[in-house]
Amino acid sequence: MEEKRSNSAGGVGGMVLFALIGFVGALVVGWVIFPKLLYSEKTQPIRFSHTVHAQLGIDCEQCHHLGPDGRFAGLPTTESCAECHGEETGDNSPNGKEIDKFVKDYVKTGAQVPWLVYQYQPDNVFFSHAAHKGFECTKCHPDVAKTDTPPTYYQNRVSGYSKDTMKMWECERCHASMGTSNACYVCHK
Amino acid sequence: MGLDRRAFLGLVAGGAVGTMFTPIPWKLLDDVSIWTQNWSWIPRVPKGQIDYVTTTSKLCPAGEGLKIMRVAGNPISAAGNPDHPLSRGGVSALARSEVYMLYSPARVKSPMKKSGKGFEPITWEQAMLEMADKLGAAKGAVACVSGDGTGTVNELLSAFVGKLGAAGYFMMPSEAATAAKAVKLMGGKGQAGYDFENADTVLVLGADIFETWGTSTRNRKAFGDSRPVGQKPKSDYIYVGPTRNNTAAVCDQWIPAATADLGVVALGIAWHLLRAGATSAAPGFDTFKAVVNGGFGPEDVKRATGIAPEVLAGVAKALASAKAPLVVTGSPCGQGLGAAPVIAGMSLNLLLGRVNKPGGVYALPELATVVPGAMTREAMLAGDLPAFLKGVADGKTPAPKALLVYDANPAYGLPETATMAKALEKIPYKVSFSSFLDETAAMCDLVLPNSLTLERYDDLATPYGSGFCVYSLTVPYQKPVHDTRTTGDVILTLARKMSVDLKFDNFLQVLKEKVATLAKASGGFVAKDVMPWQVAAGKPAPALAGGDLWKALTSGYAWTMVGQVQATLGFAPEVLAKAIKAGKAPEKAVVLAPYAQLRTGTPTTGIPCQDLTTVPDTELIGESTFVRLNSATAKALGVKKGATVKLTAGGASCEAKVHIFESVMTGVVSAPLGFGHSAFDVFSKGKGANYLSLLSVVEEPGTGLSTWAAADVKIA
Amino acid sequence: MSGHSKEFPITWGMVIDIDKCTGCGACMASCQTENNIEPQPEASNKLRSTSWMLVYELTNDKAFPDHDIAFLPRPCQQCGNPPCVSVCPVVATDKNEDGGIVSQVYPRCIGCRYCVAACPYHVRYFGWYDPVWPEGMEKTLSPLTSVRPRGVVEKCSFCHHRWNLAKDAARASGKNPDNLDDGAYVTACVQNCPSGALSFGDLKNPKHKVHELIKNPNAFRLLQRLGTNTQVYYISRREWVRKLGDNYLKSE
Repeated sequence: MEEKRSNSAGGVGGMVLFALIGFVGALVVGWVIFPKLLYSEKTQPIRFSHTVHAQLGIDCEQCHHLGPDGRFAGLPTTESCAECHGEETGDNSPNGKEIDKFVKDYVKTGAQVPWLVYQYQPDNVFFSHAAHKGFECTKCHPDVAKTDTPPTYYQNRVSGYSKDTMKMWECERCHASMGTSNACYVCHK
Repeated sequence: MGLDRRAFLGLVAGGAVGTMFTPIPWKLLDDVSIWTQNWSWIPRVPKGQIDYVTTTSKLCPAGEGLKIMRVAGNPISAAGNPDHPLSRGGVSALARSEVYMLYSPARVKSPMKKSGKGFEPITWEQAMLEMADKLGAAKGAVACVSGDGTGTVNELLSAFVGKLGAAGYFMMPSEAATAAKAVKLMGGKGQAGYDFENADTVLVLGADIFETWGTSTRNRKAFGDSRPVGQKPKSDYIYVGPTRNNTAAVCDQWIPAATADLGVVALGIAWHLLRAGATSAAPGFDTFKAVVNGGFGPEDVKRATGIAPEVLAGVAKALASAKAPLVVTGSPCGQGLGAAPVIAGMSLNLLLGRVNKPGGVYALPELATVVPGAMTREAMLAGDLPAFLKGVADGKTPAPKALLVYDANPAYGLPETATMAKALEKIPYKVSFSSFLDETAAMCDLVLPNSLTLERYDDLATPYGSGFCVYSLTVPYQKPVHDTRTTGDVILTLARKMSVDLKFDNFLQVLKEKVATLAKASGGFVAKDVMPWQVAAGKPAPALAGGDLWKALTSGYAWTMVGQVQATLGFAPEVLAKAIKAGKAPEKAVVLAPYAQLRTGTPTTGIPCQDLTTVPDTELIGESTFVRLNSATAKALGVKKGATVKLTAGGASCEAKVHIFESVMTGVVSAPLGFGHSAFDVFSKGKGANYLSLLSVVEEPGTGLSTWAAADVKIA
Repeated sequence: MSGHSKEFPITWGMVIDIDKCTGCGACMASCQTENNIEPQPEASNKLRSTSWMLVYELTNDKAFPDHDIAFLPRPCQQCGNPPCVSVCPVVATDKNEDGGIVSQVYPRCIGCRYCVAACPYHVRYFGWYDPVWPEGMEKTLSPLTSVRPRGVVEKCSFCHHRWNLAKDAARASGKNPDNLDDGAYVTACVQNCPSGALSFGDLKNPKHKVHELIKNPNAFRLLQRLGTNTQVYYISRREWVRKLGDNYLKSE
């Protein structure tokens, strides 16, 4: 068999070089570009400032509380926000404008704010906040108390879930370390 | 440096290997698997805080109090309200449907006006104008049919129609009407109430007390309580009727007897009681005794019904030796029984001394009316709708110029369905207030949809069968899903437009006034810690606490009262002598004995969509319903299991498949009601046949009442 | 049957008094909406429709007038030794939790239906169709049960979500979630039965009514001789019903 010689890029050495370029390129794409492509960035419908509310001395539990049946009440409803923000302020500051936007779009129309939930879990998951009362909220949730602008919400373009949605293995790891059952129905419904 | 083949392969290989060291394949694989779990066409479940509110079922004739689960303020499902005396936590398959029926595909979504063969939507204002105009022209000849046996809205409707010049106010046929007629003929007053909670031996003549008769959910709670699981029953239930139906299935004894023979059986038992020395001070006792002894001896009864003398002697003994026996009479299909069998059954209660006694029958007073010019319930129940419509169809009775139909579906829910439809067609102007597009609404000129239970204020006053007076409220928990209105409000608006004075501005005012009169009535109390049957049994009735009755009622509690009308019930022997004859056993004809079940809804609801799943495949397969007959009957008729047969009676015919069921007495074919709708939605329409159409209306001798609980039928 | 029964400190069980069941279907209707089963216009096709709770009609097979009938409500029997679990190739169903409820995780199920074939009680249903609700009715879906797409197997879970709710309620009121009061957790069918034919509780907890009921001489379990060791008990005073439940041969 006649050997064909490469006359441009140094034979086997060139191949290795390109393989290396491909390898490094793939790493760059995979670790840097891919995550950016995978998630779309969303902002909350209302720029809710936790700092302002925290500075007023409002406890977290005042809005995020367990119901009398032990079920987590979820995010506050428009009605409970409207207890303080029932009317437009006419204030021209950025915060004032945001309040007026909330009053105009939600309080007056009676609609609920479509808040984006960072820790969103699908319908087949049952999560009991009452059972996890002993943990700090920030163990699982982003520490929003010190944010003036809510963090950007990253939504997975393929699965539709939030980037911060806790994965099953994370739940299981903690359960295992605490000696809590990892049986299917403990968390699934 | 160019890119040759080798270099390119190197690049790809390097890239491929590199990719393996990035999250790309693993993350994508995971995400894709999650993507396949969340198809966009699979609905997501609602989120939010769960809470519970209470109201009263208006779709279910058993009148259960309901506990509604809500999520973020939206009703999700209906369960029984443990605090309500007619529910005590129990709920029928029909009452369970109260929430999802809001979204039934059969709902009428806005006022509609007939246009050609179909309908076109119109506004409420247009509808009111048109109706005021047409009803004004029909003055003096306006009739009304109502299927709501318990609501105060009947007061508004009857007063309105009365002031326009009524051609008649009719309730849809019910056990209540039959019993009212019986009580009247016996010289009594008030509504018969049955204290199952305190009874220990119950003889049930025909009545399907655990399905369609009266307060069936409450009846079953009382039954269940007297039979603690795993212990010896503390009660004895005996059922007499043509089939071992859902009621008979749990009774201690089933005595097969044709529907037409229920009166004979009752008087046959009376014979044994009299022989054992039973006596009564009630008027007509001597004549009664003569009638019973003259024609209802054991041999007479055996000849007529086929029941052995020792069987009835046994029943008489069980009743006589019981501490609290109770006799209940009714139709196996919930309608069409004559008044005479009810009188015969009631005379057993008289003989046993069970009238106005704990565990017996109470003559319950009617709650006071609040709308000026309104008819009493007693007066409303006196109307005989099948007789009236038959007269109209035959041209013997002048057709009313206008007809209002409230919570009723006479084009489907009456016997001789074809005749009734013919009569309805003769009425030139018809308005239906139906929430669903039923058979009658489809025939009407105008459909003004009523809001459903969870969308309106309404009330429930002492449903027939209840052993005590009871009143509870229906409270709206959501805005109407469609462009519907509460009929009470519609009538009041219309009355104002037509300058008819009904005293009230809106229906809520009417209900508030009703509750205010109840608060003044003596002896009433809110059933909370003490239930009315406990008061009947001797516990002191609590005072009406605090006086804020409205608040208690809107919180799901019921106002109740234990009491009786003072009137002497007599035996009415002359009626019995005319109406009940222990004749010869019928020839070889096959008798149709229909039965009804709450899971197939009422004529006004159709089959609730989730309840269709509860119907067994021995009742419905595809588009065919089954009739039940035992193997001896099937053999005599030459029909086989699963065969499709044609049932013919009174000029009408229906198809059915044959289900061999040995708990039907020989010579009887048992057929389910509630099927064969030609209106409603995919869950009701075209499913089986409506066997009511085979039943002919016959006038009962001695009482003049229309009856149709059974019919001779040809099967081929 | 190989293997042995799994035992748990809490064993949720149901006791059904057949002599009190009128066959009205309230349990089935309660189950359908509690567990987000879609309305089925062709529900009369029992091979294709879904009803986690099903009321069977039993007969003593005699001719009129000696004939007798009884109604038997059938939820998942929650076998102690479940035949469905061992055949599942993907561990989508398991009996691994205190309470002894056989779990079914829909996203994991691949729809092979081995479990449907293995179950001697026919409690397992395959979703032949995508669930569709009439327009707007999806607003009445229960938040406590997820909606299943077509192609997976589902079954009665003893309304497991209600146990979770009961535990939450106990935690909120400072009670022990692992020692619930009798009646704190009952299934939808048990709650709504107007005749009181169904009882529910922890079979091992002496404070729960069912603990005593299962010792009743008239109590029996379905197909007991298979060794499935179920957590659902039936009670009937009628011998023919008890014999039918245990599937005796004609010669016995």
